Amino acid sequence: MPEAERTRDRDLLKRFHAGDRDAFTEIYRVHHKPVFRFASMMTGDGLKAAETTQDVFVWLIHHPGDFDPKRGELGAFLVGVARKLLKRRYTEEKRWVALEESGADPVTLPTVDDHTGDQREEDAVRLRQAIAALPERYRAVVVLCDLQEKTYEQAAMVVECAVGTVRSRLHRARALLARKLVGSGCTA
Amino acid sequence: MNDRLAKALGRLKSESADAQAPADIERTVLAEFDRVTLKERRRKRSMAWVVAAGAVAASIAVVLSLEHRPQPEPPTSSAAVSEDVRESEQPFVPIPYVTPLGAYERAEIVRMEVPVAALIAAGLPMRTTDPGARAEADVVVGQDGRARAVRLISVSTEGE
Repeated sequence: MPEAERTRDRDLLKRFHAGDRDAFTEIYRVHHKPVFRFASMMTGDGLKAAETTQDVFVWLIHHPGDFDPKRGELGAFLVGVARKLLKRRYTEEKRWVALEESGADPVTLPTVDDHTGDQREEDAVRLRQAIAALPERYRAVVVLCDLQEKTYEQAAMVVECAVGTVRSRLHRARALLARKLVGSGCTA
Repeated sequence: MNDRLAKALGRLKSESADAQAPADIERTVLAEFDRVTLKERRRKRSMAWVVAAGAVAASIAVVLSLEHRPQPEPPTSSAAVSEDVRESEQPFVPIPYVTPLGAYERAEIVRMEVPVAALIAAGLPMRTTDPGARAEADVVVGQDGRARAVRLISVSTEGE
């Protein structure tokens, strides 16, 4: 992250702490997209992603002093908050399974049949499904590193583990995804 | 990374690049910001009032306590001094049956030891029952050498 962006975030945070509405609006506009994309990729559900994004920024309003600029970047911090909220939500949802959905795929993703022809399109759709089916620890690093182009260090801050752990999880996740793509029967 | 996987990831990445939360999320979040900010401002304002009221109450209490503060007693260096003060405040008792001093007569006050029995005989009220006790007293002596009045300073018994 360029130093200019860090300086901007620090300035915005300072103004936000002082109750500046415009500063908070700017923080939202700059950072809500990565948060939403992360939540969207993690859940495969636009509605849940929107709710999570809202929850992240409402949480920030109520915990303005919880972010320490010395420990990392605001963007990575907010994505980390999103991850925690998603985990909590997942834990809560696990307790409630609707009868009519109990045998269904938990993620509402477009299926291959929704698209026409194109092999790459099919692969992308299958990949979405494969990512959604990954265990959370693998899914998070794939979304962060491969889909959001975060560095290993940034991903490590989000998932709160060592950089080496991020590397090994990513390696494992890619292997699982490749196997699923090959196993889908599509030809390259 | 597997080439096919890399291509699929690239496609997914480009598809999601422009994804953003619906506009109503921003409105909801900003509404929450306004609500919290307003609440905080009210809290600070009421805190300021509480602090101001506390300061006023404290000032009133200080003023009232200063007004009703008891006056300090004069300092005393030792018990003996206060005893002396008390002694000096003792009035002279005129000795009965002696011609009082004339207005023109000079007199002297002489401190001396006097037998308690002599004081009792002179009609002074003495509490001690020890006949051998002696008293230190100031005696007003007239120009003719006769004692006219006595002021008792202290009494000591025979054993002391």
